[in-house]
This record gives sequence, structure tokens and C-alpha cells, in this order.
Amino acid sequence: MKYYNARRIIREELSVDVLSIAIGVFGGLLLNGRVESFITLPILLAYVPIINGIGGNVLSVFGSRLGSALHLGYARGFDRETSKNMALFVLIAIITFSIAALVLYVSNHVSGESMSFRIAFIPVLAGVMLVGSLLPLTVLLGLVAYRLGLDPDNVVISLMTTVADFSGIVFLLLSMRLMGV
Amino acid sequence: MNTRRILYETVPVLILCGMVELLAGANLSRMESLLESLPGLLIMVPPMLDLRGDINGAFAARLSSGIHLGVIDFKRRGEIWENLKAVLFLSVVVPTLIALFSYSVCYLLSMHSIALPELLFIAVCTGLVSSAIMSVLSVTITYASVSRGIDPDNVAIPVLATLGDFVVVVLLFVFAMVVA
Repeated sequence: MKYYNARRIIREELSVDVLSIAIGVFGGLLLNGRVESFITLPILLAYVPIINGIGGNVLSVFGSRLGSALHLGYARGFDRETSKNMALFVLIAIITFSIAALVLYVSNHVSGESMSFRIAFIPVLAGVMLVGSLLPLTVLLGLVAYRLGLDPDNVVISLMTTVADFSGIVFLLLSMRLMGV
Repeated sequence: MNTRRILYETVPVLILCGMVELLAGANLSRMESLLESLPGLLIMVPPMLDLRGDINGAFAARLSSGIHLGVIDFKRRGEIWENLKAVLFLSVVVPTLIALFSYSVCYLLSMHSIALPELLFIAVCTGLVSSAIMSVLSVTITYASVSRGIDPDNVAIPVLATLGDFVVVVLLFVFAMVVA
């Protein structure tokens, strides 16, 4: 008897994939152009792929670890261990986004333009808010999937990266407001 | 939970992938906008990129879980084959849906699109070839990290997502050239 079954994987993944495609296409068509028009500085628009890319990666690693932990029976709910894990991944987000922002800041100055430190800090704030707010949602999705008898590996990461793609630009707008840009 | 180990294993990879995306981003988006100038492909490119991440991310996550559970190892390949069957099936069916979907959206919004068979050709070929390449990479990267004592959960998905974006954009480009 095999542990993995192609039919089961296909059944569980297909619905999530179709959902994330539909959200991606319609979201892209309806929302993006309009939201992007609120972002007045073009350099900030260039941050969107970085925020979504790094944010999506941090959440994926967390989701992948959560999947293994649920399979192994280590993760049971919003307990101490889960909170410690979420705190650790917020720290990972802070470190990663700060280094990325620093590289952007330095390369910007080397190439002769002068980006203010405040502008450089915006993606760090947006990225950390993105990861921080989506981590509990990742845990919730993982727990729900597991209780429903689905393999969390098949559904959680796809759904979270779709949500992250959407939320990135929203948190970018929010951190612009917070930093008064 | 070993905090230090998680930090040491995840942060360097996350930074490296972020930097690669940063450097490649400009080129990739230039290629993407060239692709999007082919009518009908504008709508198809973003979901094709998402799809690769979805299918391979889930595959990599299952590989990691399977290794932790002890049900997957690289000597007995049955479980990996079962996973690969699902990956291949999804990599044909979902691109087909994406092409149909893109064509319908173009039709409904009365946007110009290349013919449906051409869209299907580009989507399905890209899906199949990219899934073959990315599946080999998924197994290789997972195997490499396990044999170095690194938890594959910590590294596989970011590396695969970064490589996957390249593979898909290049393949879309190649197959679009074949059609055009």
C-alpha cells in the first residue's frame, strides 16, 4: 500500500489550482491597474515583486514546515510551539527584508541616485507586515485542511502564495501611509 | 524546534533567492512584456507562472513531508513515481484550462487573441516541459539537501520558485516563437 496516491493528489490540488488561477486572472484584470495608480513613486512599484517574492518564499518555507509538522503530529493548534515558530518566521522576514533593502539602498547610491532611507525602509515594513499577518492564516488553513482530511502540503502553500500576491500591494500602500510618503 | 538551525538554513537561501529575483526581475519583466505583446498571452502569462509554483511547491512540500515520515527515500522510488504521475497530469490539465480561460476572457472582453489551438499548444508544451525540468530539479534539490543534513522544508521551495520563474518565462518565449 502506497502512502501517496496520484488520484488523491490530483483531486486535492486541482480545485485549489483552479481557484488560485481564477483569483489571479480576475484580480489582475480588475484590481491591479487601479491599485497601482495610487502608488505615485515609480520606484515603489518596483518593490512589489520583491515584497511578493520574498514574502511568498518565507510563507512557503513556513507552510512546508507546517505540513511536515502536521503529518508528524507535532503541530496540533495555536499552542506555544506554533507561536514560537511564527515569531521565528517574523524574525526571518525582518532579517531578509532588511538585507534586501540595504542592498537596494547601497546599489542605488553607488549608481548615483539618492534614495532616502525612509523610502528604502518602506518594503521592509510592508514585507514584515505581510508575513506577520499571513502567518496565523497559514496555520489556520493548515489546521483546517488537516481536520478535513486533506493533505496540507497539497493546498496550503498554493493558497497562501495567491493571497500573498494580493496582499503585497495593499501592505505597500499601508506602509507608504505609515511612513508619510 | 531548533531555532538556530532554522535561521542558519533559511536566511541565506531566502536572501540569495531575493537577490536573484531582484537582479533577474528587470530582464524577466522585459521578456514578460514582450510575451504579453502577443495578443492573448497577456492574460495567460501570470497564471502560468503561478501554476508552476503551485504544482512544484506542493510536490516539494510532499517530498519533504514524505522524507520526514520515512515513507519516501531515494532508493525505493514507488512513492516518488506516484507523486510524479500527479505532477504530470496536473501540468497538462491545468495549462489546458488556463488556455481555455484566457481565450474566453479575450473573447468576452472582445480583446484580440491568437487562435485557440496556438494558445493551447504554447500552454500545454510549456506545462509539460517545465514540469519535467522542475520535477528533476525538485528531486535533486531535495536529495542534495537531505544528504547534506539540511532540512528540505527549509530550502527547497524558495530555490525551486526562483528557478521555476526563469524556466517558465523562457519556455513560454520559445514556444511562442514556434507559433509566431
